[in-house]
Amino acid sequence: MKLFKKTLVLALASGAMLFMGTGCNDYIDIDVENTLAVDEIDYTIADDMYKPVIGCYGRMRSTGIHWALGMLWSGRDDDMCSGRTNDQADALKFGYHGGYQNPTVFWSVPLMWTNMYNIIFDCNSNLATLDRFGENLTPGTADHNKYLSYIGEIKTIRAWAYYHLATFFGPCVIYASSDQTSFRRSTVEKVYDYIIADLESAIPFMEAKRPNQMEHMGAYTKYTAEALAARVALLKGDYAKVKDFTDDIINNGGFSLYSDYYQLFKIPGKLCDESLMEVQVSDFGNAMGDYIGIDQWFNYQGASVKDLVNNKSTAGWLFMRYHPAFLQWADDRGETVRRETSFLVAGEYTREQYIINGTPPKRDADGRLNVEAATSADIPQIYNGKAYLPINQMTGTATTWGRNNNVRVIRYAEVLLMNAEAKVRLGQNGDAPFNEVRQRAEMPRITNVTVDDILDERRMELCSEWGLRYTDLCRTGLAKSVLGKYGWTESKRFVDIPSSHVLTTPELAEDPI
Amino acid sequence: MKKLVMSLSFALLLPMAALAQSGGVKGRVLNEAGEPVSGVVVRVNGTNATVLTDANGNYQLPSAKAGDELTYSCLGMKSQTVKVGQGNVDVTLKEDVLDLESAVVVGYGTTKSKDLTAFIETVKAEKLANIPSNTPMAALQGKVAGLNIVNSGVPGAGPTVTIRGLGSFGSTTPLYVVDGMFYDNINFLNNADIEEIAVLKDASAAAIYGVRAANGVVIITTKKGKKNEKAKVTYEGYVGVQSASNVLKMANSSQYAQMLRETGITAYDENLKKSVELYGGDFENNVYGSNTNWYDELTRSAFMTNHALNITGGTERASYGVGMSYLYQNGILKSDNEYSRMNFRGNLDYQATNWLNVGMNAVFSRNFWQLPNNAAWQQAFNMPGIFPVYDASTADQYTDGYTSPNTLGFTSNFYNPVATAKLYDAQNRSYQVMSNFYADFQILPEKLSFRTSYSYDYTGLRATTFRPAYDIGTNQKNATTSLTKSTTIFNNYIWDNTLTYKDSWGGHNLTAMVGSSMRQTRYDWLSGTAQNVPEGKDAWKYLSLGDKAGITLGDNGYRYRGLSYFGRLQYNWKHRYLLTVTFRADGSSKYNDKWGYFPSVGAAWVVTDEPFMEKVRFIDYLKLRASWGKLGNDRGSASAGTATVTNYRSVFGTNTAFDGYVNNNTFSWLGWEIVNETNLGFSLATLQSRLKVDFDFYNRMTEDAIVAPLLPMRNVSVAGNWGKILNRGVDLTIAWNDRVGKDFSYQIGANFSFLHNEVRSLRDGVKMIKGGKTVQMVGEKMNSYYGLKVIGVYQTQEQVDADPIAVANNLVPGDFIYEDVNGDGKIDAMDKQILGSYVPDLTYGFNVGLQWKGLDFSISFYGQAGGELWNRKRALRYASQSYNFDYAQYKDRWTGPGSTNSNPSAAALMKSWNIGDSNNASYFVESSDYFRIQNINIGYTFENLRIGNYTLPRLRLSATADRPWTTFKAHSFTPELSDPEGWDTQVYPLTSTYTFGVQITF
Repeated sequence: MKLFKKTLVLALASGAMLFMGTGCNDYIDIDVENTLAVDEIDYTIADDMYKPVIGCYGRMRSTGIHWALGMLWSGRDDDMCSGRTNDQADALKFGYHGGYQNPTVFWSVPLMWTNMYNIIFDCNSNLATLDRFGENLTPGTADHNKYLSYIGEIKTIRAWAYYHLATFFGPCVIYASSDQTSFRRSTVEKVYDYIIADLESAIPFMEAKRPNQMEHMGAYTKYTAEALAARVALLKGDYAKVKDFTDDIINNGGFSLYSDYYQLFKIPGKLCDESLMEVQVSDFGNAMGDYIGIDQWFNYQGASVKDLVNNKSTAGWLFMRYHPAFLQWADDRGETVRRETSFLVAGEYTREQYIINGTPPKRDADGRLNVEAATSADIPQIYNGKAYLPINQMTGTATTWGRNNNVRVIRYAEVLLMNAEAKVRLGQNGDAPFNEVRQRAEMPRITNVTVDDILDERRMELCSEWGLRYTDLCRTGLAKSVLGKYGWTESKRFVDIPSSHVLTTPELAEDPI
Repeated sequence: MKKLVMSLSFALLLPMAALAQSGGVKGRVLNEAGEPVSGVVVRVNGTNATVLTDANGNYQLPSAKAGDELTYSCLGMKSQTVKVGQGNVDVTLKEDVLDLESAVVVGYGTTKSKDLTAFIETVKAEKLANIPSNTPMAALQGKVAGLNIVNSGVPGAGPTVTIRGLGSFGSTTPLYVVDGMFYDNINFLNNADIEEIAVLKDASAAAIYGVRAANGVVIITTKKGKKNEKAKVTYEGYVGVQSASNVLKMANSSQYAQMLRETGITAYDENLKKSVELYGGDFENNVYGSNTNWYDELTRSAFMTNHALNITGGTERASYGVGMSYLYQNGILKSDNEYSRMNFRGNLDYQATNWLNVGMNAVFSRNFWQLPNNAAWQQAFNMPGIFPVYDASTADQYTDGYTSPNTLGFTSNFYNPVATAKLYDAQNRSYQVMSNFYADFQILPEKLSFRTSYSYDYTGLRATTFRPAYDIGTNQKNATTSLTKSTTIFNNYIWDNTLTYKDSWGGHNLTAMVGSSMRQTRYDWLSGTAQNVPEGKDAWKYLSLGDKAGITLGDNGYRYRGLSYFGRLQYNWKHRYLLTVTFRADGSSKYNDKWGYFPSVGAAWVVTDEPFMEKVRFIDYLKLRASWGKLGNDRGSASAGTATVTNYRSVFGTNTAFDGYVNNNTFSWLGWEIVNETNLGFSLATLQSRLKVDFDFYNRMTEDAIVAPLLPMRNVSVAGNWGKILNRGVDLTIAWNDRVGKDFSYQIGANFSFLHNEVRSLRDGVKMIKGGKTVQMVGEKMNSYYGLKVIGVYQTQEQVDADPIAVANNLVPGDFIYEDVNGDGKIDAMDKQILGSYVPDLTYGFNVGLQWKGLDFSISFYGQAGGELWNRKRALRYASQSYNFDYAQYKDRWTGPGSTNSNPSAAALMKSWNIGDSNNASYFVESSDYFRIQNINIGYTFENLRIGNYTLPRLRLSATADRPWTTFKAHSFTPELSDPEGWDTQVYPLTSTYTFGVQITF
């Protein structure tokens, strides 16, 4: 009996051991939780084909629209600087205040490089994902047409990233495919050509609609791509191309300027008929909670504004301030509409009768704004009104600057001015598109406009927007005279590639080809 | 089955029956002093027949007969084997001064200390009892060489524990094995729950845990009863008070204003003038009516108490242990923050038949944390004292009457720290059950046995963070309340099966074990946030009472599985030549290369057992050890091994969003991290065994360390098994144990661990990988600080004018001189260098213990040297020039030529050249060396105390001062930082704790 028991136990024991021995690889061959493999996506469901496009919009919003990049984009011309000496002081060194020292160690610089290339990389891989849907579609069908147009939307986002790389770093790397291993830079001309060619390859297949007419409202259209291509062609000095692109937008796009310039940048102007490219956010109608946003994009440019009647206030980080000379220039021009919209001057009141907190900018004995203060440690508090959202437009109890506002990237006004400039440069008359912009701003008509008129108009109409003033100064050669006195030279036009990237990718130090 | 239950109940309820003594062999056991020894196990070799000696040392074995071999063994005594002849067998047992007979847990079994080929340090319950720590591991600081423990002051927070350096860029947490179950920490246990803690450091000991062993293994055995033991009821408890130690001295209002004044920047005068206007003072003469010491406003003395009741015992066939404990720790932050833990524990072991032993073991732990808002600590560093905590004149405007930074014109970056601390409500509640069931089958008595063991752990954690609505000015307000609730569930099991064969013949002793283990770890997390949840009662903290619109949700989880086969062979000849060979094959669901193989071999030689050593009088014991083995590390997240998508939402039109994804396209293909460890050491006893030395040299090379260098052009990294990390060092433990006369004994101990930590290689062609805080650079310590090295301070204008670097950067006297490493005449990113690391080179502990009659006294010291920390508190000045200064910054500032060559002027502390976030000046790197009186304990024990008719067997009263004094140079509360990279910010101060304790054995 005892022996039997022992044998039984032995059998049991060995049995248990054996049990664990069988099918061992099955036991540990389990899927990683909460992840979806690219190869497991069902590419035959055409309704899901927009998902990789949505992802690219998400990437542009979350990594492209970053406040630390904004400081550098808009802080390099003669009209605006990053604004604070007691925080992020190095950002000033990319503009007039800090004498164009361009310290590449400043964190925004590597961030600009990596964030833009992240967008490009993700656009590349999502284009490949989109192609896997395309393989299941028959050319000529409605779904296949959608597929072609979706390619254009992703390419437009990618071109936007390249545009900022080329205008900030100059020569940069064309990262055309995910498995590229060579990272030699291309000359800035080559990058311009690449952007234009890439957009041109997509434009014929994109939808000829305004973004606010799109099925996915606000999605980028043929005209968005053309406007972006026109921006790049303008940098190249290819005015014929600028004219072609902008003519198409003006003649066929159905765009129009939004009547109230002030509200154009606020909630009422979201996705209006003037909008060609916007980065969209939403708070879903709630003061807090679920929010698809843009980090601190508006907040960092925020002034301190108070509604004295209702005792409500909103305050941002006080970055980005205009040069007093620019405000003086606008006043001298007799600007009213654009003056009210563009400038939030400390001590003044907004249209809503909210006080703008802070010390009013100093004035000289003759009453004109003191300009010396602009380069002192105490930078005059003239904030960016285009980033301003009045408290009464905020959702519920929200007080964060611009929380529910979209970021305006390309407006029809810019298209009109590009069209005007191209025409004048090509020896034609640019009065019509030019005066359309001035009329909305309640400025008198000008006839036989010159390139200088147009550049001034761009300076006013597009101030603080995306560094357009800086690229205007550079492409026209004005930079030397306008910015030279602050220490700008041609070699300071572009910022060097951050050394952290040169260290890991030495090829970047080689001359561009 | 019924029978089993009944006998179990009887085993628990009935006291042990007295052993009848008649016939067979009898005798008496005495110690060297001639006193009788009770409780000695006398066993007839080759049978199950055992008996215990009684109070007079007498025993009787009815079944024994002449010719049998009897073995006498008893804890603390050297075992002895005697052949039965005629008449009584009386033996004299010798004291086991070297502890050679004690059983040491080695993982899936125990071994006698003398048969180990590795040095396994064991810390017994008594050593933990006197330390008022909130978790057991915290009490081990300074007790075990090679075990580095960094404590935290936060109530209920466990320490950071590493064994023999940092061997991974990922997790460096050791494996904790509690009665067979795997854990990442043992913070849920009470010190009083623990019988002993064994630390496995070298490969020959740890390799049996294969892929979990690379960071070392800590084996915890909870308190259990013994067979044939009378029920023992013990209570131990203490009450005490904690206070913040080494609170940093800040500049007061006048000193702060003086610093600002010296900068020549007038922009901040308005803040100062406003303070004078509202709270009194004199701006011109630098006098301020408000001089708030924010740290004083944030700290208080806090209460702490612990109570534990344990009952253990056993009968001939069963043993049991039950216990409960309660710990309460209030926080020294002056706001709601505390921790409490209630534990229940029970175990039962039952000899069901002569071939089957079964048992179970369970711990239930209930934890409650009210968490502190550590952001207040940094804000208190930044906020000058020029306004008071409360201001009645603005009480109608601001919540609870707090002074708003707006009142003085401060904008962003300034907060009322007291409001930050108090307007915060975060709670965690956790419920944890650890259980273990086992059965031992004796297949061949004394030789072959099979054990199956199933361990299961369930931990549920409910976290609630409530943000009240408040308004303390534009930058410190929360318009609507919000509530975040999350549920985290861990659900883990391990099933182990082992077959063990033991045999002895001639001088040969052999133990062979083979086994298999399967385990699963499952984690689920679900979280939701709602706005506008009513404020006031805990009972209202439900998402469903808040706004339905805008609720956000999060969901995550993982499931990992492991399957292992292992074996161990322990062989010795006359306990003189010892060999241990282990092998483990591990499969894991986590990695793409699923299987890893981990062999180890250890050998030892007890030199003093050699005949030729008998003449060598001055050495009592010498054992030489050598081992080599491979250990694995499978911590870190699972690798899909294929491209996956990241979800993104994008907005299209008003309040409409669609879901999409980005194809990540870059993915990792991972395998194990493997540590290759060689260990050489010896144990030595000399001077009549009064002096013991344990020495170990180790060389641990982590091969295939998982590193994640950035991809070119992007800030995306991809992980691979590309790195190599070296940890090389010496663990040295010295103990002196002596007795003077009959009543006085004393012990002196010291332990040292020397560590050389070095990143040996990263990915091919990659010399450095930058993290957010530190870098990994080949040839340097892990987690090194990287920045510009300050080599002096410009003293004179002539010196500035003569230096092109100073001219180019508009510098003035009082600014830093940086080392121009590449000598190119400019300071840029190329001049950055390694500035130090938080990894210390040396940690050491000393202890002294004295006992005289009933009185006992102990004191221990602990220190570390050779590490650095990053004073992030100071470095944060880059975010706002007008932050406050610590007192040393004021006192030591550069004030003119010759005043200092290492500290900047007040003005320099405002310039990005000196404080810029991208320069990372070595000024912010400070030594993390410290030395501390770790613990002082004094106690008195009453034995057999008569209270009326009752005799209380034992009562001990004690007083303890825990961490009463620490010295260090860093400008911080403590150089012990929870951040493994040594960033000193938002650090909760460490505490000194003074307690009064009672231990009673009923």
